[in-house]
Amino acid sequence: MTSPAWLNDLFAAVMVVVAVYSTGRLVAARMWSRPTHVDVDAAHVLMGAAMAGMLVPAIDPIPNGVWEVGFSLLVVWFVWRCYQFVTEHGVEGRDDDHVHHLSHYVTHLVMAGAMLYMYLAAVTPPIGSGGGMAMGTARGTTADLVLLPLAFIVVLFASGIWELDGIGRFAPGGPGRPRPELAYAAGSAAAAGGTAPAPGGPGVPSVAGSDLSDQEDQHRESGQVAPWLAPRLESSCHIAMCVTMGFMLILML
Amino acid sequence: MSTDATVTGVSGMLSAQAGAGGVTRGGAWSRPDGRRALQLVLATIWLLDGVLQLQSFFFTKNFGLQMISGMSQGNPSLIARPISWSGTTIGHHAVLTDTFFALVQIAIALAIAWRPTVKVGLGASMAWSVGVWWVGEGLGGILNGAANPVNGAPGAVIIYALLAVLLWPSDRTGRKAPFIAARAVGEPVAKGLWLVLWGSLSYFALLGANRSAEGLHDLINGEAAGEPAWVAWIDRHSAGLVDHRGLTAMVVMAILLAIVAIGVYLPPSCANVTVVLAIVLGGAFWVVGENFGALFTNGATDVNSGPLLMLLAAAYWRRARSGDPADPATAAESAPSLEGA
Repeated sequence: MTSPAWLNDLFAAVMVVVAVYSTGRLVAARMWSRPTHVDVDAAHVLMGAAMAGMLVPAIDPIPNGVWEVGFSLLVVWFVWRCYQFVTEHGVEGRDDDHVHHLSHYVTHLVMAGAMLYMYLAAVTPPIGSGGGMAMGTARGTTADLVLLPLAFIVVLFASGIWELDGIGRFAPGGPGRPRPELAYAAGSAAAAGGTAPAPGGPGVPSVAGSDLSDQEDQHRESGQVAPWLAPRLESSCHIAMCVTMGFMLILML
Repeated sequence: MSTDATVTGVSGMLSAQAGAGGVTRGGAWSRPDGRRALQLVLATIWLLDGVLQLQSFFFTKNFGLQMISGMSQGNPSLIARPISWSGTTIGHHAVLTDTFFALVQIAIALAIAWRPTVKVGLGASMAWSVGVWWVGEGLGGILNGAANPVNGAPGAVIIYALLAVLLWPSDRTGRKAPFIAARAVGEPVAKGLWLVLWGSLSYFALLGANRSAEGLHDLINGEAAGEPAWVAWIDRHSAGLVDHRGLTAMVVMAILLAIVAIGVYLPPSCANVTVVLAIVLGGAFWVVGENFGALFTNGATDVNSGPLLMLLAAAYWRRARSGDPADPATAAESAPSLEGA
């Protein structure tokens, strides 16, 4: 099953923007000492570039085998991150940013798995067969494994929708904007029986066991606040990737 | 104090500091309650529908000239003519119209998901559903005798409209709603809508050809074409089970559907049993009669009625006891937390 070339081009353009933005995000976070999920941003770069290449094969110079290895490693990485999260915070707990749950990593595990599926299950259409994705509809045995991509699609779309629902948390001054200082406030509140000090205020004690970088510690000691790097744009990238990946998987059903 | 409670406390403090002025600017973003969760499931289904509309088949003339125009067959002239006209128009402007259809559905999904526009999204959902029910589904076959609950009658898309009404984000003052669907329209109306929907399904089960000995067998067997091998296997074996037993099977089904229909008027514990029965029936329809909405044939425009019936049933689930913190009707009033995606 192919799709109109202009539609593939449109989705590919969005993915290129996401990949470029995520790359810039990694650089900016390092330059400005702003907290961000490095592994998630790196995954967005890889997935964005790979999906753009699948949608418009002419812009993908990397062999499929390399992508397959890359996404296999990404799957392993997010399995490890899930395990690490559960051991540190439990299934019901929240990340050190007090916003993200285990589902944050599970979703990215699913995304990495979906990318791997698309490379492994699909059959490349013959040369000269016209426009369309590099990956055609799944064939043969894989065509019977349609519940797997359907499950991927459901998780991806649900994740995109829930992300959009929660995007209001990240408005400036909003209640859920992930800030490292929240960790201090929450920890202090726990110690004080629920009375939390002003976020980012002076004299906020540290939280035992929190996994913050040295730079964040410096910010804390100097009383400065290092706000999370553009969380709404990060969410928007996530939503765009979920929709695009779901679109590609639907074409492979 | 638990960590969760602590974080909730911090969040509440931050919310209070943020002040008023809209949902995102301090209107206390709160964790989705039961109704919001169902709205988000509805939005997810709309998003899936919108992206399904981007499959290549729908950019061809066949979508309008065959699929849409075909819905006019057997319908009264008053209903059929607009369908035929729409089918021809869509067929001749396939790319433009299909792009528009996909964008509308994706926009509805995003509008429901984004809190400031949830009412716009649900309102658009109602209007769009009614239009598509007529033009795209030929009123679900209820006027041409082709309606059968097993394969999606009375039309999946009208259930989208019903859900949008029942999940409307407002609350009637007075008595606390016993289930989510009653929050916006009140308990009597919600119960009445349930009775009409499931009662009509029971009626359709005994309509015309559905009563024949081979009717159900032929219907299920006919769905196997174009499906993956394992889905076709389910179809063939299910059809074999009801071979020459069509009337008996449909009578049993009609009774079960009638039980579900009146179940909403039973005491809470019994009503919940019928809600579970509704979910089971919706799941069975989706797997056997609807073949997972025919999603694997590259020609599906929506997920069909099964998941929507299950979603609807979830909105009628009665809470365990009044004042339960998990009660969807009261959860919205609870303190916000930093629940994350």
